[in-house]
Amino acid sequence: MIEIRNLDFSYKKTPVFSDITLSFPEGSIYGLLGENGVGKTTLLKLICGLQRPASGTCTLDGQTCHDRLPSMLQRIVFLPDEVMLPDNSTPQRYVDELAPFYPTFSQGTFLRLMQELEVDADRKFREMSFGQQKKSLIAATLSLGTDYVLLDEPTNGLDIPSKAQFRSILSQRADERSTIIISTHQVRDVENLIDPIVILSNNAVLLNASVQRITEKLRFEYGTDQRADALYSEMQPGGYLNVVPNTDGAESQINIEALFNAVLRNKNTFRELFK
Amino acid sequence: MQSTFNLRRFGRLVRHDLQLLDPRYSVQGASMLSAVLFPVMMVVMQTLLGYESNAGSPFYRLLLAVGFPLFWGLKLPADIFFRADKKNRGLYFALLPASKCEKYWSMFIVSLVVVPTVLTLGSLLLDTLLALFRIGPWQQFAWQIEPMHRPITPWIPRNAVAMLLSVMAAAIWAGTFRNKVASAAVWIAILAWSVFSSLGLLLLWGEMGMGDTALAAFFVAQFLLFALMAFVGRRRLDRLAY
Repeated sequence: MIEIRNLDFSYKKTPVFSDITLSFPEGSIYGLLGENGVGKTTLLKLICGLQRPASGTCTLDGQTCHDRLPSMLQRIVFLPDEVMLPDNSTPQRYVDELAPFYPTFSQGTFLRLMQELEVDADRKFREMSFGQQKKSLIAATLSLGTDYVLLDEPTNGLDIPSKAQFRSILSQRADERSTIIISTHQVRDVENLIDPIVILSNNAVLLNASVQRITEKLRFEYGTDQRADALYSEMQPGGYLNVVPNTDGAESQINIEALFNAVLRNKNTFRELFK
Repeated sequence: MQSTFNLRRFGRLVRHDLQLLDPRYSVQGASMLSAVLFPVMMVVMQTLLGYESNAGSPFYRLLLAVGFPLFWGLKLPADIFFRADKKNRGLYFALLPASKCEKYWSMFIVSLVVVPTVLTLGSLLLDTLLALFRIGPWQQFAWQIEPMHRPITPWIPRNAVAMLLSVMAAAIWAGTFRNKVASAAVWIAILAWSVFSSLGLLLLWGEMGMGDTALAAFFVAQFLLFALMAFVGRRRLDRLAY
């Protein structure tokens, strides 16, 4: 389990996190959402030990993350938004270089994922488009078989069919011992995939709740009118989408984009609601 | 202890780091391989420019064949810069499941031992082959040095300046390589070092007539520079953040 306790972090004089406490138990695909610059990538970097907190702790199964001990690094993989790849290398060679360090790596899984994503494992990176490079990296990352997978904007650069393939691959990859954290702006790409949802804003965690808990507390209602008690309303073709408190326990389908906007506009209400 | 140093993991890491230098996939590897040819090119250029008496001398050739590849060993901080400190590529390095100690020593062995040794042996082999067929200035084998007895004093200030420049370069490089002005200063310093060691000194070599002592002093100076680079590189590696 990833545990963050009373963590403070800042870039020189710009505070990013102030006294945040958060945990990521195993067995879920977490969606990490937030506006630009709130610290989504920084949080992922803190988790994999690339940054050191100013105070507080960030641990992975009890090991301090920024120590970056080999036993911890063997169990976590981070796919950043942008990766500088060796132009002359190939995806197969890339995993050949990494594989000896990850006892859980599976060549079969790698080739299967490459096939599903329709990328040639022996083609040079320089001959690939950005999207193909990204797909190769996704296949390499997931085939390492680590318990913890951190993905920063994984769907950036992917075409529409590839986004669906990505969702399918990630659903297959999820199991009860793995923890997958996806940081993204493109919430529609990961809708129906992420659960729980974590929303960051202004140095703090505004929401960290499962989809079930969110739909117990909120109702996502489509109607012809804008509701006066709505926490957030959005005009859509044919009417309005209203996010309202779920007072009568009715079930509804979550709309992550609307949830995100509702949270940002009603920070204090949400803190109270999900206390 | 296992988390700090594990021999099997270290072996895997050294192998991994050597694979990164494969000239088929790495520009850095390809450029290092071309360094084997550099001493030959220098001798040919010097001969064409009319310095054939110096260029063809075994001492001069030995110094080029051994000295120039050793210069590559000084690239340790640069390797750390390119591999470990650059924002995107650095993540790969930092997250590779090995300890910081293993990563440093692997880099040390590859940059300061394997690369200079391979390049030196390559250069000497090439020089020996050319001497075997008595091609152009290669009329004697490199090891057929004639002892010289002239004092080495005039050589010391020049090399001291060269060393000072490279020390400055290393310090600036290691501390502030994101700063453009500092980077420019580094390149100028390295360029000056190169000029001093590979051209300035070499042109004067024949006149000064350096003996075994001077050669030994040259290698000791190189060794000290290596040690300094190693120290600077280690400090930089320990302080990295992404």
